[in-house]
Amino acid sequence: MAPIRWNRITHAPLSPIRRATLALLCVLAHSGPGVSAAPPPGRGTTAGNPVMLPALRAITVTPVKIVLSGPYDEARVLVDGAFVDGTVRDLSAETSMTVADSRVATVDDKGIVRAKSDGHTVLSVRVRGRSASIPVTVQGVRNARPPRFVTDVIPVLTRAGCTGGACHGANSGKGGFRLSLLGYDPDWDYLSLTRLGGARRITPSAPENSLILRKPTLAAPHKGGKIFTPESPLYRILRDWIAGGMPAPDAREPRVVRLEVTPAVRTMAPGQTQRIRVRAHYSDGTIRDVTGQTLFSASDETVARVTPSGEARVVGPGEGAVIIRYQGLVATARLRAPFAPPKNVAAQRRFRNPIDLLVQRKLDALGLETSPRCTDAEFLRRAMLDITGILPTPEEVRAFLADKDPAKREKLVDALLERPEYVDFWALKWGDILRASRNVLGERGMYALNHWIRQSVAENKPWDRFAREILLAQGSPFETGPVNFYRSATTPEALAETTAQVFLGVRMQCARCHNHPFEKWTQNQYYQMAAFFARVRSKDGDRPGERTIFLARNGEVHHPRTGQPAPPTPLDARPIPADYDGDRREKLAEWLTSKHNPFFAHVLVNRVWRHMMGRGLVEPVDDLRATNPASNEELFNYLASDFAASGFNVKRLIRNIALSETYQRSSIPTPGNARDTKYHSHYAFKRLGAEQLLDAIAAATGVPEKFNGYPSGTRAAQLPDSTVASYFLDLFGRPARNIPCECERTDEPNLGQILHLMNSKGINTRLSSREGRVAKLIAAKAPDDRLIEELYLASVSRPPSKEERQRATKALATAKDRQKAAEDILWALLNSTEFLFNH
Amino acid sequence: MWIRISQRLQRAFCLPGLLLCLAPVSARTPVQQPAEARQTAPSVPRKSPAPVTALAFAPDGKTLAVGVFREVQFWDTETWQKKGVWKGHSDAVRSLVFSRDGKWLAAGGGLPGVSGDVRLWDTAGRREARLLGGHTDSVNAVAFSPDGSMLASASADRTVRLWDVASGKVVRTLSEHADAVWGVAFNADGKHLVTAGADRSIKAWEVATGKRLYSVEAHTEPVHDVEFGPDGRQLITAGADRQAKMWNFSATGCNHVRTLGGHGQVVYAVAVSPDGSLLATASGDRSVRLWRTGNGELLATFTGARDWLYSVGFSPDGKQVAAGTYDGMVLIWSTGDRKQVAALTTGR
Repeated sequence: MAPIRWNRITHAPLSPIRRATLALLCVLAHSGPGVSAAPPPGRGTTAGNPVMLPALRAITVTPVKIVLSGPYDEARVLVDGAFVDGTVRDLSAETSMTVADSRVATVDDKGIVRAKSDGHTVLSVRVRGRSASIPVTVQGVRNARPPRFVTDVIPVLTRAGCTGGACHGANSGKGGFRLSLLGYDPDWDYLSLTRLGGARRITPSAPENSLILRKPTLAAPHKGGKIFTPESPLYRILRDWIAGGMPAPDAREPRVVRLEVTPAVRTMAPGQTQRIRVRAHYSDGTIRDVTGQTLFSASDETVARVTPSGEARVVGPGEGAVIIRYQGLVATARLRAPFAPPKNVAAQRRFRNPIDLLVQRKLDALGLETSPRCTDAEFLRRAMLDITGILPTPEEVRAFLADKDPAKREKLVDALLERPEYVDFWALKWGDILRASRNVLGERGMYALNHWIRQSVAENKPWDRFAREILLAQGSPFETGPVNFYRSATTPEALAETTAQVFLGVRMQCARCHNHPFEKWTQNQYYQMAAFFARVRSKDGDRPGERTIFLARNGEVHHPRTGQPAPPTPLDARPIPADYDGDRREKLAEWLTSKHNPFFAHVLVNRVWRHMMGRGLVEPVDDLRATNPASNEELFNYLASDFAASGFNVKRLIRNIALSETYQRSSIPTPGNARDTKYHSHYAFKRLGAEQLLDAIAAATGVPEKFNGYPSGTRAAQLPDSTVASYFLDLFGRPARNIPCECERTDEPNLGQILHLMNSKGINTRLSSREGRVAKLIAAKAPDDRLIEELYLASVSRPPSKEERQRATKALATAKDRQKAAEDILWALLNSTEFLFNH
Repeated sequence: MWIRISQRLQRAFCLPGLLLCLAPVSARTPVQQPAEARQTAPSVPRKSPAPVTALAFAPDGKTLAVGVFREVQFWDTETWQKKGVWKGHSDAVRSLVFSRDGKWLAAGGGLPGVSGDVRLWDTAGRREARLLGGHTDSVNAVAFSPDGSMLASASADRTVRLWDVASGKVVRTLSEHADAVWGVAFNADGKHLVTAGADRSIKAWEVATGKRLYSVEAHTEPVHDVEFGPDGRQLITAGADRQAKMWNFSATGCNHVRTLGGHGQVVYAVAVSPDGSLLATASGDRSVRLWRTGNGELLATFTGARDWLYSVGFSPDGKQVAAGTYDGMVLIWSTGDRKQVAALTTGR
């Protein structure tokens, strides 16, 4: 067979970004408090600079004054330059900073001012011929109290890396010395430092002699290497804490309640750097600059990177976040590097759909242009595959293309949402996450769950009711579908994890053993969530294999560290009243499905968005956390609040997305958006899912798949679970439904898939089947034109182009066997990217 | 908070029944420094006392040797007055043992993470007679062989060294522990040695050959101490799993006899009374428990310590038990009426 390339999807070569102009057009994204220094008269541009920049208009110093309280207080100074072209950029790194009276305070090359002794002085900054000065007051150094354990010492151990998972924070510690991961258990850490291990880690009477100071300075061999010097502020806090009598953790120490990050958002250009300042707000109202004890990391290293001292560097276009972690709290600084000069299309255009406005704002900020609208044929195929999971028939394609109604796309989406295939396809999706599988639930349980899911999808059950019915389920899993939720997860811990992942998009598993290392979730919160399920029990029912779910009158989940019963408490919410003796799950469901729940609507919206758009606003789709910011927070929040306001109407959400211009964009990128992979400037094409693909091949060839035990004509998307044997479905990534995660379904390509599509019995017998589309067209003596068009419409859902028509006609004309030639054409179409992908 | 701490300290240092309050309360208040010094080195308001990491009664019963940071203090057991100090140790003195004839006092210690040594004190000449150096981490435990000719040192460098006392030379190095070694004891005839380590095991060795006879996973957490009873069969271990365990020792194996539970924290040290009838365990739960060896009966729980306990020892007549605390105290109780006899403040 001649190798024919029928692939129509071609991508324009990446256009070089106009870097030169980029630097000139960064917009002002941050204007914090500060003092401005007016340009000295007669001074112009900064000639002789290594980088050609527009003239500097003024500099701004943050903060406007520095007050340091106590010997350990620090303050990072940021210097912004405002340029005549309107851009603002961080000049801190090139600013020379000096403190007038070095006996009062010092400043280091990272721009951090530290207290030395009580008094007043002035910090002078000088950059590019401009200068400014801010007052510095140091107080409370005299008669200072020693560092406190939770407030001062734990951050040092965390910042120095001691409590990291690769070091002493590992579950088994390192070298016999174990600390809690990122300091989540200060009581343990205090004992471990002072009393455990034979009390050899600290020498109370001679602080500098302590092993915990000699090891990290390499005065004693340390496998972790040199961590700091005796001159470092980290060392000093540890030493002074020991010297000050090692105050133990004290419940009255103020807690950090909020982190304040400067700048919170900034637009930059690749190559530019930005220093970040972090301040902690405490429960007692105090505010402290904690930049020096903060852990910095980058959310997307292809956009921005960050040093341990909090200096970020933009390396590529897009939007990246610097993740800031301090004492269990998480905050972000968003750094934006436009692909091209920012535009302002959003202000000039009217949008029918708020989705389009919010997407456009993001695209404008990043200087991305949009691809044009997709064709009617593309839209029909795309919407059918996304909403109903099937291909349009040739008749449907013809009818849609012929329809002159300007509202035909809207009509199509509305019609698709009412089709039975919509139920099949979306029940398949929810069945994956809810793990409808006879392996665990047994045949009757699986069918009951499946039936309930299908019914829920069919009646467009509001998502809050869907969740409530699951959470509050009890009785027989054979009779009541959602009871099976309590069969695939059986312990309070597993139920809390599954609930959090499915309905909140929160992965709490890590917090089972320790505070979550990347998130704010604590071990306490984990067991407080599990406590909602403490009284769920099962017993044998009347029928074989039937385990009935009921509620016991009592039962608690005990925190493994304290042994105390955990009070049922939703995430970041108040515990339920202690005297509440009803079904605890009722309270959980109430909180979960509240319109104000910050996760519930978001995760469903994200799942549907990804399903339709090919990429979640947050990826992975069920991993919502502050350290994993959305690609478009404003859009994400709008979609979630709109979904909640609509009464959690899933069909309406799908409709809104499908009818947005964003969804209807061509998948072919333009030179101005080719590098965008996550802001939806063009449609993100995606490989058909296993069931979609098998059903599409069956539809295109006209030969349905046969599944053992199911009536002929049953489509793959209609199968109730994934135990129904199918080599094809397994090969193309059908999930086994073992875990409550969408990630179990994979679209990873592999060699087996390619070989299967090229040359397998499944494909070849379909092509040559006497019942198949080709045989029927040949038998009906369809003329070449009609034959070719029919094959195109049935597979790639569009009429052939003129050139394609000519090539196919030639192939038919020169062939000895007309049927074989027609089969070859269809074979080639089935192996084309255009067929295999939803584009 | 400061007031609270200093009140607590006052209580700690002037216990009821204490004959001598060696450290005046005023010495615990923040040290007054000249203004200049305060400015450059802020916040050093208070020095903490050094933990009492080792103690031993001399065989004549007249002296209690107490190991703290960089020194061994000698206390008169009549007057409970400090009568002498042996200085020059490189860090905490982590183990103190008198030879049976009272001629030598061995002190194990060293700089954690760097070096470990055993220093021999000539009790008659009142001078340091010998330095047995060479361990690469601190020596946690020392033991004399019954005839006094040999000395074993157990170190955090994971090895045990056997020394010839007369020459000060290393006879043998035993290196099969996978983690720090915390305890070492000779049996009654001096032919066998048992070591205990952070690898949770106790290991039995043949002294003459250095051959390891067997290893037993004795506790679920590090084993911090091991002692033999006078009959050479009874073996007691103490662990971070908050338990002490009694074993029946032989050259072929070690049978678990009973577990002495009830401590609420790490058991750091055990001691057997000279006649073998009593056992004392010292724990991080701030108590010393006194047990009857024969049946494991708990006879008394000595409270009164304000901090964790790290060392324990019987007087040669078995009538007193002394224990050392993290906050620098040595508490002495009578095994007869079970009352506290004295509380010594070792710190400055």
